[in-house]
Amino acid sequence: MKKVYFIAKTTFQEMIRERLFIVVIFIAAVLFGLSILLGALSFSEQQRILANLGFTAIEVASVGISLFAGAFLISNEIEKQTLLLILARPISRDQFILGKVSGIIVLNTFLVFFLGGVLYLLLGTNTSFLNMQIILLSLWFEALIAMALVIFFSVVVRPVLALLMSFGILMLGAWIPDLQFFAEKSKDPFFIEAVKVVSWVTPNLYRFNWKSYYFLELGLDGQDTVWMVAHSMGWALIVLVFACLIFRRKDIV
Amino acid sequence: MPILEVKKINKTFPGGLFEKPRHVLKDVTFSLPAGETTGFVGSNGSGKTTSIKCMLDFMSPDSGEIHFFGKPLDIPAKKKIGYLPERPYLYEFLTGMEFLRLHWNLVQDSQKDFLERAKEALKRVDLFDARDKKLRQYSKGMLQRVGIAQAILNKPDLLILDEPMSGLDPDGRGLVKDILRDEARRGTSLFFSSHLLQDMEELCSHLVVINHGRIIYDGDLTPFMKQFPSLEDAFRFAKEEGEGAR
Repeated sequence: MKKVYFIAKTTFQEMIRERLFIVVIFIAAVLFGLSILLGALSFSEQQRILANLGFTAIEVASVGISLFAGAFLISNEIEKQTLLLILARPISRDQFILGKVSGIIVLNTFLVFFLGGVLYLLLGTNTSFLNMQIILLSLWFEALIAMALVIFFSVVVRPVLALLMSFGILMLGAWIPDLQFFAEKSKDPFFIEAVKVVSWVTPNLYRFNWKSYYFLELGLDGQDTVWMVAHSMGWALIVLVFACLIFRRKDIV
Repeated sequence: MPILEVKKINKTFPGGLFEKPRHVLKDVTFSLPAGETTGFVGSNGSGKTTSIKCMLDFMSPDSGEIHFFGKPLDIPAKKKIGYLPERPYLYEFLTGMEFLRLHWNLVQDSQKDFLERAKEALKRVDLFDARDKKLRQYSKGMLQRVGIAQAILNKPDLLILDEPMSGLDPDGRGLVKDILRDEARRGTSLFFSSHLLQDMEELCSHLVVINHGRIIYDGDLTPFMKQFPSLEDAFRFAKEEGEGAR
């Protein structure tokens, strides 16, 4: 574990120096600013606009960081051959992946909960702290799945393709209810079956799409929260195990 | 017992859509005697770096066996090996000292002795004054030298260096040669590839020659050089003989 920690620490250090991190923080800040501005225009809807846009800003920042960092982190190490020196050390390839993943997770945790804290302060202390935590957790898990997917694809294909494939799967996972609606409307048996398959092979992100004022106000069911944790952890774990299995056999040319 | 034994390694790179697969290592077999300095000689594209990458498990050979210290490469064996790749691309956001600390932490369990060893290694490669500079501020030669510092930091039993003299000016080359001599005197087994045959001649007692993915010589330097005025002449002759045999 100590070795994983040192790889994670180096990954974290590397990422906070990346231009990408600054760009994502900037986008999040712009969205936050926009939510305050739009909220100020409409007194009755102020909280709603602030919450909805604020959560979207956190989602964009955390999923964005996960996708871009995950796609390029390992492929850059292979391309620049920086991992040769690391893998020559008494460290397994699984530990290397685990270290990289841990580095991104730490950064994302910091990002989601720091931006969440800012949003909580902006919304005022009347907001339910528990509901806020659960929504932030759902965003954190969404970013975890995004990172696992992109790391898996990045050990198989080129980073840009890995990014696009992961983004595509995330989109499908979020659009399953819409696809199901259209499939039922079309009454095409092939379309209906295809949507069923898609719902099995993609993470069901729509089931914990809670980033709105509605859920912040009304709260969330405990069972739904447990389902979200189990589903996300399961997805991330399975995908990362496959990533490790492939990376173990990968030739570093 | 040889410190490293490579037995009948084969490696083929898959071809592209309109390319044939390339059989780059053909039954590569050689061994390193413990405590000696072994040179790995071959032209560009002859399979030196691929052999080293197979040895260190960066690539899986299609067939064959590789044994370090009498057994396949494992975590305890890796602790005894120092390695420098052909072009050492390093984490540029780290300082020289942070870079060494990372490599110390990946091998050792405690921080004890780190400062002393890091200081010693940096002084040996003449980079002690640049220890707090970011690696991105280092020149190519400095990067090569800090790469050598990380390779010797943990006092390895076996040093594997892929073109350690490339990119260095004559002073830098002289410095690296001195370090290699010191390491050899300390009892470290050395294995390094180089295009610079004159350096090989000066440093090595054992030689492995590879040509088009095939080992054409594995043995002491002196018999290889018999009747030739220099290693370069002997290498050319062996290569031509190898070409004829092909």
